[in-house]
Amino acid sequence: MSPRKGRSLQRTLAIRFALTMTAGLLGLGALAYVGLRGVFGNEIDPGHFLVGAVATALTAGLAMLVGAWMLARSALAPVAEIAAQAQLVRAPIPDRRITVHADVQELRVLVGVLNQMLERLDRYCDWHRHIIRDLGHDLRTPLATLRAGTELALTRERSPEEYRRVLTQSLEEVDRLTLISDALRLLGRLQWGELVPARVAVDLRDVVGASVARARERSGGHVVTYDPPADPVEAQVDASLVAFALDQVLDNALRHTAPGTPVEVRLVASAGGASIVVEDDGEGVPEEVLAHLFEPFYRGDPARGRAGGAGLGLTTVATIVREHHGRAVAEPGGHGGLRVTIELPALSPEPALLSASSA
Amino acid sequence: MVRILIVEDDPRVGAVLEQGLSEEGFRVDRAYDGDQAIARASHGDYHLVLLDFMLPGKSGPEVARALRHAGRRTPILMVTARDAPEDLRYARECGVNEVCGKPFRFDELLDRIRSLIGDAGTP
Repeated sequence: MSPRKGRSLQRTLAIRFALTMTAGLLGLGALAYVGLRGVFGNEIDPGHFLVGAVATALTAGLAMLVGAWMLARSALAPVAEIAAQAQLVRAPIPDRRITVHADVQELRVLVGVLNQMLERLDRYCDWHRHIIRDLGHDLRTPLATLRAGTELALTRERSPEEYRRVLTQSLEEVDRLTLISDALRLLGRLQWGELVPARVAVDLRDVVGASVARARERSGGHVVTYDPPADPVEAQVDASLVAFALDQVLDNALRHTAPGTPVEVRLVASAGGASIVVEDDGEGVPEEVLAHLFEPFYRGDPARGRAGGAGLGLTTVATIVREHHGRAVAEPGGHGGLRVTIELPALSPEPALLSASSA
Repeated sequence: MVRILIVEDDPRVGAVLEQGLSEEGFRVDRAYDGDQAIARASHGDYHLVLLDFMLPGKSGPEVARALRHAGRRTPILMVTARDAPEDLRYARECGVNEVCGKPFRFDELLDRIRSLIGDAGTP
């Protein structure tokens, strides 16, 4: 039902108040009549008394109707103000909040609840704004290679080997676009609860080993080292999701450090679970960026090269680790680079934690 | 021969640029991060620097700023996926002459390169 078709609270309150008071006055008149008849007997003319009492009650009722109308209007004025301000809320809604000069506790509670809702919507809109804006950016590099590579191939007659090389390169770019698409889809499914990670006991040495092998294949001259522990490191995880997360962390290290940079992967078993550490010897990440590293497409100061956005990769890592009740930590590495640690509990019901530390 | 320094950390984009420009008769060198770019552009006699925005280490605009501070007047053409107004403004403030957005048409990129390097750009 639209607000226009509903009953007016102001009118309802005023009429009900006036009717109640009028009825009360008529009741009092009846009592007064009975009392007066007891004192003065038949000297009281019932007809005159009735007319007088009804006239008095109606006059007073009318006055009370006007008074109650004004009182209700005054009391409900902040509601109209809230409605007017709420109508102005449009996405995006950065910092728009409802401010009402209401001295009424109930209305203050209402305003507080509405503002909390606006904050949540604000964060939600902000997240989506980042995703949409920056996804466009991240798609451009593979598209640039596809576009320029194909255009270049068509500028002159080439040998079959050359065409094969261009087609292979195009295929790699399609794979890259597919990865972005996969990350986006996975993130969406995890965020909206459509994908619940399976919990299967796996030896994390296999997961990490396979991920390191993939990283070595696509690295541009990086030295990716991994010395697996001698004993099995078991955890109950969704192996494909953990592998996806580790691929993203390694990809981040490969993409944001110069070719030839050492990237060390460690798998450490602990009493509560296991940690997978990826540490590069690159130039590191500014402290102010570390705190935002797991946010989607976070971009820091454009003057800092590595601050130029981690895309969706590390956000996906954080989401996957959180779904496993684990913790993803970004901090300065021992050689000045970046260290990302994925902490996975054996199987813990504890609430998820996500933090970035500069310690 | 006209010399161009390509500064691009993405090996695939860099390879396509290198091949295309070489086929057009330019002599091409590559740099993969900001420091390499500054070192090569400071000592090499380049007619143009083709510069990416986001690089490991120093960013593209930082490279441009360092070259300008060192007195290098080599034209700088930035090829970037970052085309937000604040990014473009920042790049120009740092000394970038022109910006070409990704994905780009290769013939348009060539036109811009030739326009920036003037007569030297005619093979």
